[in-house]
Amino acid sequence: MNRSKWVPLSLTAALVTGSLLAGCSSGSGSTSGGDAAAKPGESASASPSAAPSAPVKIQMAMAASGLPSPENDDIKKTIDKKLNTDLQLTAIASGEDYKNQIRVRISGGNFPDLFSVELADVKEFSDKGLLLDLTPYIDKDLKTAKDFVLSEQKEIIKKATINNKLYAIPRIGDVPFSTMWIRQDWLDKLNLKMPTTLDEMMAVAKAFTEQDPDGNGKKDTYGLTGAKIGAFASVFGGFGAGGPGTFYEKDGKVMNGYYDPAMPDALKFIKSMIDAGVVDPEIMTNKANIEVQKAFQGKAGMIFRGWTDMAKDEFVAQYKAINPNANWVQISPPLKGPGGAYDGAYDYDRPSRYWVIPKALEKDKAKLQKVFDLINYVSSAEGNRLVMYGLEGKHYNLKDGKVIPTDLMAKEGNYFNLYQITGRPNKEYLEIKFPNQAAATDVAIKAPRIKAFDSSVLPPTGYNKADADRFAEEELIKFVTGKRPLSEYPDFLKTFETTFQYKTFVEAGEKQIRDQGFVK
Amino acid sequence: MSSNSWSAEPAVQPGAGIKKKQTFWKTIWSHKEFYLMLLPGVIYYIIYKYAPMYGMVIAFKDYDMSEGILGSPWADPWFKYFQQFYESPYFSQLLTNTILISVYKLAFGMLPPILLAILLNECRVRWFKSLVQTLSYMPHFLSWIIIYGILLMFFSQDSGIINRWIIDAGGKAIPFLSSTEWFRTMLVGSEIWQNLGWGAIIYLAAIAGIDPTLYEAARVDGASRMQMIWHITLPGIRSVIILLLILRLGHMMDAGFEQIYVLYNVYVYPVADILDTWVFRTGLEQWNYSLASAVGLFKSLIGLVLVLLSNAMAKRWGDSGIW
Repeated sequence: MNRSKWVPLSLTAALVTGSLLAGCSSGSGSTSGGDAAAKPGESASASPSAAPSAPVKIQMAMAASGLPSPENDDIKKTIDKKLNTDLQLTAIASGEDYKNQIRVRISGGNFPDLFSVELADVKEFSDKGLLLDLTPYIDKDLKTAKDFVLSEQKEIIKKATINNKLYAIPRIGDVPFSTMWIRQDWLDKLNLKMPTTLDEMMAVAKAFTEQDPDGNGKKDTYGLTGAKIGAFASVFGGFGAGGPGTFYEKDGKVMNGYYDPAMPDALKFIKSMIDAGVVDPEIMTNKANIEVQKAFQGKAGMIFRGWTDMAKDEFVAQYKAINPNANWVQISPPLKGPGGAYDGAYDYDRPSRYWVIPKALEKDKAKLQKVFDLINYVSSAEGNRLVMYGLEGKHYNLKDGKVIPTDLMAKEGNYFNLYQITGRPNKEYLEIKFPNQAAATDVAIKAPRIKAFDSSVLPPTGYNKADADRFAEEELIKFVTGKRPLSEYPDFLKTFETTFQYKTFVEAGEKQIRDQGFVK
Repeated sequence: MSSNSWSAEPAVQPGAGIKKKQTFWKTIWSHKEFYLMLLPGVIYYIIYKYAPMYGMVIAFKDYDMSEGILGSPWADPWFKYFQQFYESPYFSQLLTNTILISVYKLAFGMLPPILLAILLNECRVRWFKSLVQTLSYMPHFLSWIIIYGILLMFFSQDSGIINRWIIDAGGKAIPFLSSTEWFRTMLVGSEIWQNLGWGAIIYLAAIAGIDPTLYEAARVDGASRMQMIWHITLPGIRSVIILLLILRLGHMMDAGFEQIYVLYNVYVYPVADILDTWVFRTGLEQWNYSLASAVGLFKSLIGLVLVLLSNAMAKRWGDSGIW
């Protein structure tokens, strides 16, 4: 009798309160905001400390992991000595947590002096007047940094410009890694030659499926695997289309992938591959890198993927352990189709990070100067070498002017990139860090791709990206699996434009791309 | 039921308010040890469950994290986010999916743990009983990601063991995890599998609480085992069954976010996308907390109404309900 009383009571309480998850979690998030604000304000304690001898404390924040403790952080110690600073980097591993924390700190007025945010946040924060307008500084005080990023990417400054004002220092973008990979040993076994066109690729995929390339007597292999529609990047490229939803230039105009006249043709080709049964039937549901595992296990002979997943020593060892004869090679140049030969689309000018400085720092000139010094230093030849390779004699040795990494670099060097505020010259850097993969890196960098502008586009307010994404993905898959005839493609676009307001998104995107001067 | 002595006081005459108050505090004082023990729990609920509820107001505000809950401006109109939710092209599909999946889980998931509990109770081989019990509630401790891996091994279209058998038997592979026909079966099935043993624990406990003299009397009267189950065991745990049913009804609008988020894929969105997965993609991934709260509030209200209704119904049918 007793039990029947307290169990229901407490369970009722749990029930009534437990389901208010959404309200509660955001509520508590903001409560801790109050706590953060209550901590001793950094801005107050730091401003009088501009005395010449005392090191200037600089707080930096970013989403990253692997930072060692300050005593073991050679990069921090070297920079501090060089610039007379006390550099305090806060690295938060999860991007979500970082985003939350930055917002909480901002709401408490407790800004880091230099922090990295997404482009959408650059816009939001600058609209609120929270960020320092860097336009007056970029040509003088930040000239070293500007010249450095421009030397790698001519358009990158534009990408950080919003309404003709520069609110962020962009970090040099990443280089493309992905290409189509194929099992050379399967080609050899079936006496096939390396495919150069989409049609030849189709023939090879058929042979891989039907002629038992692994010789186990079972029909258990496929031509192509991958994850979702991106697995067909080479096909879209071959038709001259930049892939669903991507913005790029075509015939002098801004083009969105869904509206490209070549899109239905590309979908038709993909459908013919799926109909022929040469594609992994689970290609649309593969997730969590399972497609790479399938490729390594010899279930498919082609995959569109980055060399970082295929050619690193540990991965080569992985697939060689399964089959010592396995030999994955890149298809280069890309497969030719009726619209050209491109390994998909790539946003070359996308900055890999956006660094912003709070407006409040304007009042503390000495500290602001130190922040500029820091950014310039890691962009200079000397500073950049430090944040790329670490300490000479410890992490690397110089031989005829060339950097030779030591074992310690591999062991300790994983966090160096956190300090690469403005980035690095990628090709040189990757070749030194990954000497065995230099050839694959080079192929991926040089592969022709359709130049995308996606990083210029911010979705307009009121546009529900999640609903639109779901709808487009579902319908595209219906088209390529034959559940919906391709003749209905215009109807799809119409629903997409009206019910899901894709039109407003495309118009906003076109305007932003033109405003930044990428397409007239 | 009348051990709450203060609520069972005779009706007070007008003007006797002060006296009533005194007896109220007096009663509390006379049971002070119990109330003291209750205190930590009450404080916990106030701090962690009731106080954060004020955050619900962001469902009616244009919530902005840099402004804070109080500083954010009120939404205009006040139902803006409810409207945004209602106007999603997927609104009716989401609602249907949520309710259907919940109903299926309730309908098919209610009986198996009861059955297992009765079977375990009847089992006289002790080591076998504890072995089965341990094995059956082990899955409860597996995360959905791991269960997804297990499901893949069995039901994957390409490499799953079941499809291998089907193909070897000359059949055609069935896309269990990526077809709209099969997906809900997979959801309900894996949920039952995961919670079978765990769910049986509470029934086993209830069965253990049944007065053993009833069984002795039945045995003397020559009742068979089946008759004892039917006339003693089942009626004995009836109130627990109803209690759990009412509690589950309160969660009608939670069809199992974690499970579906891990298992679903683009092919099965039309049958698998539920309120919570939508909120995750639309509200949380895009920092639209106001929308997420609005949907959360909507769900809670429906859950509350369902609990109240089912409790009233349970009482009408002669059971005690949960309060």
